[in-house]
Order: sequence, then structure tokens, then C-alpha cells
Amino acid sequence: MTYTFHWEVPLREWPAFLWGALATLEMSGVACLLGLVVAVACALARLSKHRYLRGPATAYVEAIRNTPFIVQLFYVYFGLVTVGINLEAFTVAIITLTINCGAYCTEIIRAGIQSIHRGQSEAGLSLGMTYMQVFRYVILMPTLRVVWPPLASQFIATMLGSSVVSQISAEELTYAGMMLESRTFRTFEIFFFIAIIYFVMAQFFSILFSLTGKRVFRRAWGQL
Amino acid sequence: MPEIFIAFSYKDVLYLLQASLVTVALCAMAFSCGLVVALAIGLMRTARRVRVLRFVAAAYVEVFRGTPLLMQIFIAYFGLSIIGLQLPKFVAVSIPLILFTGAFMGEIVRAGIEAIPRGQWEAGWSLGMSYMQVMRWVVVPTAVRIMIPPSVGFLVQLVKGTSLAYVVGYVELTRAGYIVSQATYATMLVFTLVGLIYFGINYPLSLASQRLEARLKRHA
Amino acid sequence: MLKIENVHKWFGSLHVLKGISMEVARGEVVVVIGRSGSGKSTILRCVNGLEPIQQGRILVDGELVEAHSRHVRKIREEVGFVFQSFNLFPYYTAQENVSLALKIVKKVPPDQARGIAEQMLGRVGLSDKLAAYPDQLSGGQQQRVAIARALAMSPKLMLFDEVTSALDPELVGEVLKVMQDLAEGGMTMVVVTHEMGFARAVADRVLFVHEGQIAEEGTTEQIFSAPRNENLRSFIQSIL
Repeated sequence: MTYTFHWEVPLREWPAFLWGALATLEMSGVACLLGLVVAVACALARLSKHRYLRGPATAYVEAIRNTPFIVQLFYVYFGLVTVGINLEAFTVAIITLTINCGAYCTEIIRAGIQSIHRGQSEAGLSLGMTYMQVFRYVILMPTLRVVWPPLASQFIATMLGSSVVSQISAEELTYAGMMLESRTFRTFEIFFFIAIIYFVMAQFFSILFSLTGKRVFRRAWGQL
Repeated sequence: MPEIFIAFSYKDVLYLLQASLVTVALCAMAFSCGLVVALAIGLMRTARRVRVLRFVAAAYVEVFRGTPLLMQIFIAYFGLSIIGLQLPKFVAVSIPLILFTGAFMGEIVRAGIEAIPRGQWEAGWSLGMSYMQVMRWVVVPTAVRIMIPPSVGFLVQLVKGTSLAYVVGYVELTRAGYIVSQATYATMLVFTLVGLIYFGINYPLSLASQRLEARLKRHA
Repeated sequence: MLKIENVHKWFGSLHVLKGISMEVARGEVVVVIGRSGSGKSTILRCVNGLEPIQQGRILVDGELVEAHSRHVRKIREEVGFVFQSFNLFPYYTAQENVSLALKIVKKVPPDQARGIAEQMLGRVGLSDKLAAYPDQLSGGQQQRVAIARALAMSPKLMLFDEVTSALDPELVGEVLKVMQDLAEGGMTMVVVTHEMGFARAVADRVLFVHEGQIAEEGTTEQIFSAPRNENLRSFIQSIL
């Protein structure tokens, strides 16, 4: 083995990686929030009685979930350029991440809403609750409790998946690594280091979401 | 816009279809080898008395599910050439996909084994069966049935994952699409086609997974 | 046949069995009664090694029962256990459920195993359900298959752990009838149950377990007509 490891290369450049990590977090965070809004709307659309709402929502979800993210990214990026809109790569990344995250979250929320037994809302109504009360106490809180862990997983998955936007030169963590790599050619050390950063971030948020969930949905956390 | 149709011909379509065969081949390789890894991981994670095995397997799963697949492909691909191994590109790209499959399928295997109620184990033991006998005759048949729907669902993820072989320049469907679009400038058309091909592979799998899941629930 | 000597068992810090001693002679039918949580099921599960004991000894036909040892497997070939939740193997037919252990544990050739299975299922009155899967059978039928499965191994001792508690009332009778036939045929049985009618009809001896100890022991008449222990008296009253 003629290769000698130069671990000081990535370590020396830690400010660049810090900025990259923050950019990744900013990008994923915005995408997840917007994606959540999209998801709630689409979940309700998928559950509605009207076919003109259900159809497009279902088509959207199935199209996104069955195609690779990188293809979606290229599609949006080149598509916008073709139509003449020239946006920053960072913005394109957020748009595509939002579209992607939104589709997956739609399924999660839809499943969560459907998992609440209809009998429970019937029970609520029989006890004299109004529709609003039934929605708030019998449907909303249990649904939030049920969807919290899979949503948290999806958010982390989106954060990890954001590494792909480096391919359209959006400035985030992986791209920072690629830039450094083209200067120093220390591919292995750089990306190993970056992988560790992603891992730490993923673990951190995983624990954060888990603890938050336990505090907010105190009692029946384990009964899913 | 007439420029879209410059130089794009049926030859390019054939090229894309060929590339999609590469994608399928990568999946087949990754899934079959990954399944072996997954069985090992799944069994290790449910090992009753050896804590080290459980820990190692759990760590493996955490690492491969907690890091971007893109990173895994980069590291494995460049790492292998550093060690001095000059493997054919197909193999070099398959290896991170195999490890990725092993982690995700490992979780599915574990869930399958743990879904077997303890009473089944006790019934087998009470009849004088050994641990391996109970595993082979009672647990495995039931667990396999439980594992099939999520496995088919994972295949969809795997197909999407192969698209990341793009980043090391390996020519599978996505990279082929990029090449064609650069050559013909018919970008939107090409990527629509690429998307449709992926969809055509994945959508039937997704449907199958949902249907299998529903059938399993009915028999439970 | 079965000797339990001063057995103590803890679940963590909970002292579940506090010095259980009993003997069952060959051909005897012993019924164990008691409140939920008294430890009666635990005793049974210790006998075939599903639960380990911390103190005391359990001997089946002179052989020491040590849970988690290799030797306990041999003992289990001779001790049949029937569970409250049946625990039939879901993807095997009734006939396959009964013959599986014969084939892989006792290495009986498949044709012979099949024959024994058919015979056993006939004994429990299910000759017409050989090819049925568990989810196609009623609770009572499933439990009878479970009994046939245990019987197929030609056990010296049969243990029944509240086998009718999970059944709808109208299905209980068919299972009890099978158990009664078995008893009259001379099988050594230890039965944990709430079914007092069964105990009265079939038991040679009845044991009352209260809070991990055997509080009273005697024949059916002694226990039901003239209970001495006051816990036993209130227990009987709460049942009848």
C-alpha cells in the first residue's frame, strides 16, 4: 500500500466544513418545514371525497416516491433553465428537497390520520362533543403522536439525502468536500470525515426528536 | 421549441434502455449479496445471550442508515482503490450498495424474527425441539412471510439508490441520461424519459408491496 | 413420577414461588387451583423448564430439570405441555402441526409420523380437519389439535396450563371431554384450571395455591365441601 493517510487535510479545513454543515442544516430545515405544509395539504387531498383533489395528489406522491432524488433534482434544475428562470443552485436545492420531502411526509400523515379508528370519533360525538372538539382532542393529538417518529425519520433522511444537491453545485457540506478534494485529492480522508459529520448530525437530531416527542406526548408514547 | 428535438433519436432511447439494464443488474447483485449480509445482521441482532454480537450488528445498522448513501459510495469506491484493489467498476459500485442493503434488510429480518410471538418458541421447545430446530421449522417460515412486503418496498429504495452511482461516473440509467442530454441538448425530454423508466420499474414494485402487505394482514 | 422439592422462584425481586413441594404418582390426575397471580401457572412452566428455578429441585421420573441446559430437551420429549393460547404453528395444517415434532425431534419416518398424527387427531375428534390451517379452526378445535400435538410424542406426563381460559364458553366442553378421556385412560396429568366441574369429575387430588405456596391439599370432596384454609374458602365462594 503506497497510500499514506493525511488526516490533517480535512481537519485543517474545519471552518469550511462548519459552514457546509450549517448550510446543509439550513437547507434541510427549510425544506422540511415547507414540505410539511405541502404534506398536510396533500394528505387531506388524498383522503378527500373529490376525485379531482385525490387524483393529482396521488399522482404527485407516486411520481416522487418512485423516482430517484437525483433525477428529480436534474429535472427541476434543467427544467427551470430551459424555461429561462435562472435561480441559485441553493434555491433549486431547497425547492426540490421540499417537493421530495413533501411527498414522503404526505404518506406518513395520511397513514397517521387513517390509523385513528373511526370508532373513536364516533365515541367522541356520542359523548356530546362538537366536531371541532372531536377533531382537536380525539383526532389531532393522537395523529401527531403517531406521526412524530416516522416524520422525524423522514426529516433525518431528507438531511442525509441533501448531500446529493452537491451535484448541481449547491453549497453545502458535500460540495465543500468536493471543492477541497479537487484541490488536495485526499478523497478518502475528506469524505470519511464528512460522513462522520453527517452521522453525528443524524444521531443528534434523532435523539433530539425522540426526547422532544417523549416530553410533548408524555403518556402514551410507547403505545403505537 | 424545435431545438429540443436536435439530434435526439431512437438510438438514444436504446442507449437509455441498455443503461436501465445496468441499473437492474446492480440491483440484483446488491440485493442478493446484501440479503446474505442482512440474514447475518438480523440473526446477530436477535442473538439471545451474546451481547457483543447484538452491539456490533446494531452499530453496523446505525452507521449505514445514519450516513448519506452518496458518502458511502464515495468512500467505498475511493477507499477500495486506495487499498490497492483494482476491481471492475461494477463490483466497486456494488459493494457499498451491498452494505447498504445489508443494513436496511437486516432491520427487516430482525423485525421478522421479533414478530414471532414467544408462544411459538415455547410450543416448539415444549415438544423437545432445539433452538435451531425451532428457528428452522417454526420461526423462519412465518418470518419470511412477514418480511416479504417490506423487502419489496426496500427494492424500490435500492433502485433509486443505484442512481447515485452517477457520482463516480459509472454508467447506469441516470448517468446515461446525463450523457445523452449533454449530447443532444434535449434535456427535458431525456430526463422525462429517464424518470418514466425508473417509475416503470418501481411503481409495480410499490403496488406489489402494498398488495402483499394487505394479504398478510388478512391471514394474521 | 413428578417430584417438586421446596422450589423457590423469583421474577427479579418478586418472590413468586415460596417453597413449593408436591408429588404426582404415575396415573394420577392433579388439579391446581388458585387466584390469578398465585403462581400456579409458573409451577407448571418450571416443570418443563420454560422458567428457571433459583432454589429446590424438580425431578421428572428421577431426572433433574434444569432450564437452559441441553438435557432439558430430552425431558421435554417425554413431557407434553398444552398452552392457554394454543400456540399452534400458523403455516402448518393440523396434521403437519401434530407430526412436525415427531419427524424432526424423534426422527420418525414421514409416513409413520403421518399415521400417528391421524390417529391422534382422531382421538381428539378431528379426523375431518387434517388439512385445515389453524386460522380455519375454532378455538376449541385449535386447542384439541394442540392436545393431539402434545400427545403424539407419547409423553409420560401431560401439563395443561389453563387451557380453556381463552375459549368461548360453548367451546370449553369439547376440550374438557378430551382431557377427561385422557385421564380415564390412565395418563399422568397436572392441570391448572378454573373449571371446578372438571376438577370434581376427574381429579384424584386438588391443590390450592395461594401467594406462591400450597395452602391446602386434598381430594375433591375435602377441598370443595370442607375447606379448612380461609383463603380457599373465600376463593371457592368467589367462583361459585
